[in-house]
Amino acid sequence: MSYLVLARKWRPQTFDDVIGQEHVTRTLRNAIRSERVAHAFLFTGPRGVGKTTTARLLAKALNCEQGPTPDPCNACSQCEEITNRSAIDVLEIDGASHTGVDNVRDLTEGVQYRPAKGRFRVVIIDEVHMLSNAAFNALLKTLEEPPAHVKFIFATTESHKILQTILSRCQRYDFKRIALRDLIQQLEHLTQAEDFECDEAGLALLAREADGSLRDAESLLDQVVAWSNGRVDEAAVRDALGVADRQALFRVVEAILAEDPAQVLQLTGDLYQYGYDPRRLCHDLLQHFHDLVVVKVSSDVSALADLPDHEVEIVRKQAALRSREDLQRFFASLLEAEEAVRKSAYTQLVVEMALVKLASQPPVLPIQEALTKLEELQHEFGSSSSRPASAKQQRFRPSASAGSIGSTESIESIGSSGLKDSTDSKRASPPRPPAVPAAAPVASDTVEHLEQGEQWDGFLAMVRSKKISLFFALKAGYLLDETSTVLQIGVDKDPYLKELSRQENRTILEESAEQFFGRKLTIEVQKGKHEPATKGPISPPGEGNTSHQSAQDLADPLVKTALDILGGEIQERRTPRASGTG
Amino acid sequence: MLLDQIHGHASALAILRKALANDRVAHAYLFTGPDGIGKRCTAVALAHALLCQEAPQRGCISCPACVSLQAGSHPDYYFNGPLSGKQSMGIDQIRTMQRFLALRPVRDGKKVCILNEAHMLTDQAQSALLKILEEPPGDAIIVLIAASGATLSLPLLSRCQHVRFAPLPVQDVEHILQQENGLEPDTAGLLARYSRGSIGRALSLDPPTLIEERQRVVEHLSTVHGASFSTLSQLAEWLVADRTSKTKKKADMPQALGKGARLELVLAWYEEALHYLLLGKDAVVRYQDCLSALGQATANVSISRALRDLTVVYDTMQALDRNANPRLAVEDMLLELAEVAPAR
Repeated sequence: MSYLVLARKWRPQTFDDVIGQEHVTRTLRNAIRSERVAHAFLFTGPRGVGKTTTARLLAKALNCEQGPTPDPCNACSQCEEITNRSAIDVLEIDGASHTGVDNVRDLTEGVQYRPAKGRFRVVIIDEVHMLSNAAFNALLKTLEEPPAHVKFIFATTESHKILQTILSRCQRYDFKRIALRDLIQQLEHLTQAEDFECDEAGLALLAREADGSLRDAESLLDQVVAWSNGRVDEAAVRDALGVADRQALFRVVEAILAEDPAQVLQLTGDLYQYGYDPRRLCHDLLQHFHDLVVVKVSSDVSALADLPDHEVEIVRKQAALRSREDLQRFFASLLEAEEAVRKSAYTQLVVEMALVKLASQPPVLPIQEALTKLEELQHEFGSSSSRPASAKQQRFRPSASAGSIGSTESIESIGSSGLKDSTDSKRASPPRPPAVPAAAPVASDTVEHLEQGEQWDGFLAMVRSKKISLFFALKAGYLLDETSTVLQIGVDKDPYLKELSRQENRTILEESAEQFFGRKLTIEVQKGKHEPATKGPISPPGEGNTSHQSAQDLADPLVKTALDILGGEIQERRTPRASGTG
Repeated sequence: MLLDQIHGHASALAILRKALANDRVAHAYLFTGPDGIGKRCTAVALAHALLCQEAPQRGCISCPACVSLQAGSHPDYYFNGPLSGKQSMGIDQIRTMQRFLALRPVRDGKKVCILNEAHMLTDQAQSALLKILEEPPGDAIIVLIAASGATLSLPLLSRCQHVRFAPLPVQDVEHILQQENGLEPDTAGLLARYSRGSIGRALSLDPPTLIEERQRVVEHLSTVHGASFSTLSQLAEWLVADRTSKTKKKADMPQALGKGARLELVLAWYEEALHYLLLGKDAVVRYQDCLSALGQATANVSISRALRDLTVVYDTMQALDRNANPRLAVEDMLLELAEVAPAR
């Protein structure tokens, strides 16, 4: 017999040897002890955690010559035959290559016969998820009420592919990933028994690579041992498995955080030359940025990230360099890159592009900070008006007035200077002078209008709560004048005018006005195009095409809507006819 | 080819040699790495080492076992891969392999089974492989060869010892081309730089065509900024010409570089431009002899712009893989590349 890999050599032969699956082994042993063993089992869970092993153990426990026992003797002929896989009463079937209904028919016919030697005929179907639908269905009857001497055990990694009707006939046992701690312990046990030299860091690295699977851990250990003649320390593990030196990884991350793309490129190039898989690098970096984010948000690091103590310090130091938003953004970009690199033929290129991009991004401003800054700016520029005017309020403001020019201007300049750096705010001021002389004399006007605008908003809201169709009609209009007894509303479009003029609607309007303004008001609705009652110093209509906004411009619903949506100010207005003549 | 004759891959070979020496050869190996770098050669060499009657652990070329192995007729040796023209390998081929493994070895030794291009295995085939891969009967050794483990299922990966093959360094490729294939140093150097670490790829390139096409790419790309649309359009036509094979004028279309090779030259150019900007002239590999042109082309280019250009080219190539209209995509790409960078 040639060399047997560790995973096969150390396949558990008693329930006690099965690591990390106490919830399964205990239940099974108790079932055997109390003679309540079901006739069909389904073992499911990730790869390499002990499903097939447990299935064989169960077969052994049932057929052992010492009677059905929770602790098979491993000495009798039955136990030995099962260990050698030569027992005729234990049928181990590869479900993935015997998928058809014919295979199942053979099986169901075969199980009718009494066992040859043992107590039970045990049918183990591994990779059972690959059976065809027809095969599963052919199994249903037998599975529900098999002969008393038959036990079925199914094992699979993908329980979701199994029919509900099969699931409901089986006792289901979910195997868990094996905890890092248990893996390390088991590896220690193995290395001692096999007489390998090992150190803790090496085993920890191995166990982390195995990612919750004992078979993976044992395969990797085999690989390391073959590489290093029986020595399992960190360097050997790294060399044998092609895991990057953690220090090299840290240096890459440091270069990214220090915004040094050249260094990043240099380091990744070196790693690549060393034979390090770019996919792997991407994955490791992703893991590292995950750790960074975890360290950033949580005080209890050890519970969340699988990190040795000396690395926690490094990670903490790195995490302190950038904000949480930054780290999360890096993580998101890397996640994208990992996806791309998985599919791409140009792995090195994709990773390099992603990392250089990461390294050339300056820190982002947290959004809360940006908002605060914006608000500060707004206060600075909006000092002429007592409170910031929002675009929404503007929509309901009486049409043309110097006030609206002033506030539009202020919003625009906030917008531009908020986005660009401070030198731009100097540039933003030149357009202001034309507006400033105008704004000064009407400062009081502005305030009044703002208030009026707000009142109008409130009034609209009041109407909205009463009758929504009326609200929409009213929204198309605007407040022309408000005196102690009369509320003048202007509307441009006839249908709205009609709607507002109807008696029942007028009653509602008047009621609302009384409630809102606290005094009785008569509502007058007029056809629009009227000059608003209050107006700022506007340039004469004749000069409408010049750089200033005119009442006409703003009264045009098209222009008004454009202004509402886009903001800014009107520089020039051309109508098709005007451009034709001019 | 024997283990001793394989160039490079020091760590992969060391794993195998040590396993042979210590009699710890696992029953299942997975060899991964880019195409054409020697994975299959290594697997066959491993088979020689395992099956040879004269010089176990090393292999020879004279004993009956090795001779029949070389001829592919050794009764205990099995080699399979995707059928020609197929994009996948199905369950039937796995069943054939299982039948082979079910028999006892003919000659009193081991059985070796090599499955090439295992990344093309279908899900069903992968599942069917699991049981036999975990506990192959008797003294069988199974070697899977794949471009990467990414398409293989975790249960399958966990059953194999994973041996990674890195692309060969440029110097190694150059050396091999000179020694084994008797190429001139100049040609060998040029091909090695475009090989992406793969001998197979290097040998598939035709040096005169490569030189000519590369010259043209350099000429165009170093003056691409602000080029007129007509120039770009012509360039686009030329760039996509090697993507379609059903053109009448076959003489105009050298296929020696393979499909889409011209665009790859473009990609390489921008990749090197980024390297040049960040790391200086020593980092440039593929356009080492065109440093002045590269320097000129990157004189007024910021890093972010270089990165953007590279991304544009890469995205275009990705789009072409997903069947975008080649001409339109490449024209669009060139227009973006030609955009004159705003003055800094």
